[in-house]
Amino acid sequence: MDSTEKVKQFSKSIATIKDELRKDIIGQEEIVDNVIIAIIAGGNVLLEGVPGVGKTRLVRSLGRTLSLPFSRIQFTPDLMPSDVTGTNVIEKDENGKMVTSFRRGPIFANLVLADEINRATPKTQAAMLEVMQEHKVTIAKTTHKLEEPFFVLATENPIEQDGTYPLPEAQMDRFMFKLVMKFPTAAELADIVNMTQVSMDENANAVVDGKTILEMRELAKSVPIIDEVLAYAVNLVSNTHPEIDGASATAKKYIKYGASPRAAQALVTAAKVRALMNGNYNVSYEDIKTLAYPVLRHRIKINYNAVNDRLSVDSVIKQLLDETK
Amino acid sequence: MTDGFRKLKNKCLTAAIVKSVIAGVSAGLILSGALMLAFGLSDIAFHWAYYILIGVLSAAAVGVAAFLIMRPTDKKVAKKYDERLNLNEKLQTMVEFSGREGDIIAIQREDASHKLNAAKIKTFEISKLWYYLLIAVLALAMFFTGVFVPAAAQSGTGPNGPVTPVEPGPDEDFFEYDLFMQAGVAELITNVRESNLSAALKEEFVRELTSLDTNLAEIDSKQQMRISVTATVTAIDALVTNANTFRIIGELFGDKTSGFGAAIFQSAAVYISSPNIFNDYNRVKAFETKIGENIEIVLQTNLTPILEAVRIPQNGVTDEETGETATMAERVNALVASLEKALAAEVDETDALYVTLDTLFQTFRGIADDMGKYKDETLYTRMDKAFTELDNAMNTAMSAQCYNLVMNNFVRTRLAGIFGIDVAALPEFNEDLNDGNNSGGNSGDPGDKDPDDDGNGGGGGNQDELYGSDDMIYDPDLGEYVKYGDVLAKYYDRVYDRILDGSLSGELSEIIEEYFKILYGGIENDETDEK
Repeated sequence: MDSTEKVKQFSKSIATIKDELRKDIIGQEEIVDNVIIAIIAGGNVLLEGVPGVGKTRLVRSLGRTLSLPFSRIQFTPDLMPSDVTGTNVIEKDENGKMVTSFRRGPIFANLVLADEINRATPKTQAAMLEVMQEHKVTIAKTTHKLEEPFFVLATENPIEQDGTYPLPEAQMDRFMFKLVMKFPTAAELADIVNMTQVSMDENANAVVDGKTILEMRELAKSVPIIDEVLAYAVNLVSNTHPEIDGASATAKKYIKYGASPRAAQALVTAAKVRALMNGNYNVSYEDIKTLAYPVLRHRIKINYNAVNDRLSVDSVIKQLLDETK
Repeated sequence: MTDGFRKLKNKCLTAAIVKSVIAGVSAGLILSGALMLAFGLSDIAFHWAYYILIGVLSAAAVGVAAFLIMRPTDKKVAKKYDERLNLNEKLQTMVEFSGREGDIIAIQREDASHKLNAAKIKTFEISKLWYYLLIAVLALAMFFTGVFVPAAAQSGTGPNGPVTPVEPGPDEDFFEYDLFMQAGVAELITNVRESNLSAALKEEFVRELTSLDTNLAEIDSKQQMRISVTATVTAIDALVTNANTFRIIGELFGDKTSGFGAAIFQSAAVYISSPNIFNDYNRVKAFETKIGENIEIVLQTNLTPILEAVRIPQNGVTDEETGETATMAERVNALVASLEKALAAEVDETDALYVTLDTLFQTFRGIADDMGKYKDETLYTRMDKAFTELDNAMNTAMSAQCYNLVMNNFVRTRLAGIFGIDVAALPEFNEDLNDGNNSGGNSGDPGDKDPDDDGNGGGGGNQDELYGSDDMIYDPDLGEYVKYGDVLAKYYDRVYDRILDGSLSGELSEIIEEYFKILYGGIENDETDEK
């Protein structure tokens, strides 16, 4: 398939993936779209949602659809870094000799669900996040690369705060998106109940493979973005900083500290994928504005003024979007 | 660039051209209309071609500027239609990446072109066309306002209907400051420079006349000419009034019919009694030589009784008729009080007349202090001496002030003559001197007038109005009999010209002058006897 065909095939592929996922996932369209975008863009996702909304099912179905090995890590306070990455063990080989071999941890998969990552200790969180950043594990001077595409969907339970270790901001920055999985609507819940009464099995089939995902990733990089839209994305991230000259009024009033340059990178990269996903061949303002929320909500820290004015992070992001030229 | 986009750009270019033309033409109409209105209502005349030129230039400037601002670039067109057709920056991306290669870029270009072709775009559209049309309508309104409103104002059509024009028609009122008039004014200025006016007053006269000369060059209507000439005459009258102090000082003596009051006012008015019409500088020069003589008569007439009044014994004299006794002290003190009152005049203390009277005041105050210390004869000697000095000094002072009046009169008469203005139409000046001349002095007025007299019987009058008898005399110019008084001035002019050019001997000239004096001024001996 030549490049032109691949380009035209891109959005069809995405549509196919989404159709398969809908077999297992009811509703949550925005979550599904953004997760797909993050996978193709090469980023990771932090998913916030109450228990039972389908986080594990989503990743598992995604793994089946994308023909990618999936693993789930349930984080607990006693989880050790080696429980995530793996460790060297001493065992007898076929000759009876005692040798050390590396036993891979659950991180060695293409799609990893890191459930309730905020329950792990900072040490375990750091080990996990290092893997997310570098896509490799180093144990005793030996580096083990992870197979691409590598995608981590980490979850946080917004209800339980006792016994949790909130992720530090620097590590939150490693997630391309933070998505909030809402409780399904009544109709959606009814569909879920009806569906799971019949079977709890996942019905999604494999439609693409990892190689295709990587090709799509490369393809998305060449989507053109005009200077004005790029400047808009850059200005948007700059406007989250209250300390710079010419800072926006919203930033000065409501933001304690703003997003890092990774936010701008994530925004543009994800916007290109989104454009192709929607059958467009250029990045538009709409792409930037839509993706501003998942990209920025975990990267900016609102201050007490926002709390006092009963403004959520998303509300502040909306004001920033209005102020940015 | 795709054909579709190229067509789109051409549409935008056409719209920009149309808008620029509307903007330029509107600007030209507004500017020229505003100028026509402003200048037209201000009576400032410009040739119509200037308005057209200004309108065309401003239209071109504004039109070009508007086109430069509005001219469509690829980027502007792409942005405009991306927003209008909700194409999510497809066209802008196509334009920005038009020079680059790449699979996605090619596909994007194709996709944008396809979307553009599928969109329904009007063949010709101008955004906010109504806005431009409104401006054009307002511009036309402004232009026609500038054309018709000033014309209506000039035609005299007011809100209540046509107004009777005050001004004469353009041909009748036309005035040209021709060479003859210019020469006349130039000669008048020369005469003033040669005159014996004080340096300061002379300079003021010349300044006013020079200003008139300059103004008249710009005037093209008779009415404006009359206004200018009258203004100059009024200004010169004011100069002389300010320069002369006789009126201010004389008023303070109270009585203008006797004493110092009469001496001052009648001295100033000696020129009125002259039969001269001061329409020629030679006449001014001729009269100048006689001012002193005439004033001398006035002073002798009026100052002598003052001296006689104080020149009485210190013990006093008793009036035989009234039985009242008056002492020298009383008389002297009364004189001193009278002078002191006059010296309170708000005039320059270096003024000649003021100094003269002040000298007399000081002398008689000294005499008042010395009463009882010296004999009568000693005091009389001082009095005589003081009055002799007074006479001389006052003659000099009043001669100068009278000369100012003569020159004033000359300038008025001459200007009236140059520009064909009736002297009587000029503002009145020194009319009170005419009234003052009615009682005594070298007055030319008839004095006790016959109520049935139509004003032409005997006696003098103003310099521009001559009185004569009602007898009829033949006028050779008219070829008919006319009243004597009507030709008297004409006869006198002709004779006086002969006197001036030396055609007549000195003795004969004196006789003729005396004869006309009698005709105009009354018999001076009779008037003296009457006092």
